[in-house]
Amino acid sequence: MRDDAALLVALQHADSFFPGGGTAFSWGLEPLHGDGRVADAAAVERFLGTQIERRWASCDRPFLVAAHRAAGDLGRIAEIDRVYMAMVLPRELREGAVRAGGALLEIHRRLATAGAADYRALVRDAGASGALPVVQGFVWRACGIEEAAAAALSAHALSVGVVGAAIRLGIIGHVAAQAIIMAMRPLIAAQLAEPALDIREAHSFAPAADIAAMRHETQTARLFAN
Amino acid sequence: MATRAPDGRTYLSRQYASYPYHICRPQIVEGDPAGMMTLYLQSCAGGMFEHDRLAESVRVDARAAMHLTTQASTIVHSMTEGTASQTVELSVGSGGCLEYLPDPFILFPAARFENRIRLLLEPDATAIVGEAFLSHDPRGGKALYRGYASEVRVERDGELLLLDRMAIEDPSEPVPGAGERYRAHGSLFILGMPGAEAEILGAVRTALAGVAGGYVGASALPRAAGFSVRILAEDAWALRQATLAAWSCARLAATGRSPHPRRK
Repeated sequence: MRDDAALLVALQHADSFFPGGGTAFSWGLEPLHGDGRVADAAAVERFLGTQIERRWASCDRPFLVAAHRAAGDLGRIAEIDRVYMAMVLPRELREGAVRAGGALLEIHRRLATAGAADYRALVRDAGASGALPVVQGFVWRACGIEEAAAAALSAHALSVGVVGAAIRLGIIGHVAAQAIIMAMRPLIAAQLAEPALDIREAHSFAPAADIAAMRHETQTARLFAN
Repeated sequence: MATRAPDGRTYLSRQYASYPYHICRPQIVEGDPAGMMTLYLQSCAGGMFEHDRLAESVRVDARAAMHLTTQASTIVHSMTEGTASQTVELSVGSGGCLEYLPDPFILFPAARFENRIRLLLEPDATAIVGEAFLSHDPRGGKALYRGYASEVRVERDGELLLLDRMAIEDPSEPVPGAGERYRAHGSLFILGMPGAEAEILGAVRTALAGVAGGYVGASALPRAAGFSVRILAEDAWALRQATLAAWSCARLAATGRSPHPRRK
């Protein structure tokens, strides 16, 4: 694939216009905001930085990379999926990963991406979960996106999802949102410069967001699923 | 190893301890489920030091019941370059019950520590497992530990139920990402409790809501394994209150009686 063609593929999948279902989730931001713990742009940036460093880089990325490297071996991908799900303890974050992954899988099924229909059948009939990072890794590979680009796409999607949620919650405006996305860039690049962890070493630690997501389960006034 | 005697009481059927461990005499605590044994595991070392490699292995046989704890927090002392580690293997037989609630690790400045807990559950086994740490500078300053890694892995019949793995390196806050306010973090896993899960979870949440100095949440685990509790606490007292509240509530829901806090 020529470089400009690869860039166009990456642009298509990074675009928030792509109907991947990412707008229903705040990944813990809404409840932290509700608990008065995230109230301004600086706090949103800190929250996203923590998500990138302590959840995405050390946990989501290894699983995405493992699914990418599984090269369409759906049995192996289902195993990776199972371990990921055992590592996400707050129910809403687990369900968010499954719903967002399911939406991405479904659109790729309809686009006839290789393996998407078969994996969707495994999710429907054989107890596979279809968690977001795992689905991203495997469908993006099937679309011809290389491993490093797939990881960058996933970090970008998380950043856009979180700042998008922050805008809709009325914490920040569009300019601050872009400034936060720019501030994440060196953080994400520094992570991508390091090799991805093996999933046997994957870890995550974002207790404030975990606790907020747990508390969100009993909150009735909400915009987001987590 | 804890085994159920014909009269229903749990007794220590086999034990082995070498330095620095000391296994205290089993006790019966009033208010506990019939036959439950309480055991304190003590260390005579004055804490964990650089290059310490400790290992514990605990088996609770079918239908036996044990509450295993420590007498006090474990200090993890300052280190130069090395690390200290502890590996805990727990297994609970069918219908058995284990409560593994050690006091928190107190991480001194420049301490590095790895804690690894693996729990194997047989069918109908129940367990409550706790893991917690606290950052503390004995000189009253703000110096922090250098590393803390923890893994809690729970399997039932060869199936992975949960894997909680964290790794903190060179933290800039006592609990990374939680702000300067919180000095302690704890996790509690309540596993295999029979009956009305939603009600137990609701009760645990109500009990936790009353804990001052903490930011606490509880949620159902994957595969209907039970639930997890996460605790951020301003100090050791708040951490202990939240842990006691969740434990007490889970016990009440499972057995109909609240437990008495263990003497420390």
